Amino acid sequence: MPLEIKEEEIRELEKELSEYAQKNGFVLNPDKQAREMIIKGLLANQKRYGKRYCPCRRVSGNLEEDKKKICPCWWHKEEIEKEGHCHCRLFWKKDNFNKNENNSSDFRKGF
Amino acid sequence: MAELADARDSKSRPGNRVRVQLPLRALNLKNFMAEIILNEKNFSEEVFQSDKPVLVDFWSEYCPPCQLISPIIEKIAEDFQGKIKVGKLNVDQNPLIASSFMIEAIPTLLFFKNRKVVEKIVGLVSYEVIKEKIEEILKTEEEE
Repeated sequence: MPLEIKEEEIRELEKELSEYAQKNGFVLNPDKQAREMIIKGLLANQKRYGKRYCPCRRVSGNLEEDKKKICPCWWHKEEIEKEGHCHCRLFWKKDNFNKNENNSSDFRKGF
Repeated sequence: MAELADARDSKSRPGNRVRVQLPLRALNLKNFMAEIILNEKNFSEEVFQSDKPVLVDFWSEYCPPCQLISPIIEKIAEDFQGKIKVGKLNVDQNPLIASSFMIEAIPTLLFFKNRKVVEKIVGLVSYEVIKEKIEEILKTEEEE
């Protein structure tokens, strides 16, 4: 049965994550479609597992092991520094993307 | 989703139909049966008993990099059809297999040859990167 995720839940989490990103010197993925997909994934995991696990990391079921995967995850700052974005591409280094005339990121660049 | 076909059972009375379970395939109008949907039931047969190298894409529904790599995997399946087998495994629906291969971040691509994992790619990569890995694997196979 598909999980129900409300628009207001997406907006609320987006605001929270955006504030976190701003405080730490990075930004959310400016590609709206990608950003919303990731946020939906976080919310889906919240509803399924009770925690906001990264949608691009496997939830093992071991609470201790999975703690690191709660967004913002344990690896995100290192990944942003090295790759310019975290693994699931929610958080990006500022100016590490090219905005085209449609104002979308290079989330899909090269692919 | 299972594809079921009705086949006439010649031994039974005329008009009787027998339901036959076909292997699961990702429906692809351009190249039907290019990728295999893998699960805990068919994984061993499709991967470990394959006479060709197998590329397995471990993915999840809400993971955008998984969605982005999907058409790349589809193209790989088309371009290397007959030389390798390509399968997709949803990690949420098949947790035991995902955990047995210690899949942590997704997408993860595992390349199998002769029942062993010979290469691994984690994260979103380009068509060229995957193509290069496959060509290396096929080259060593020719040399053996």
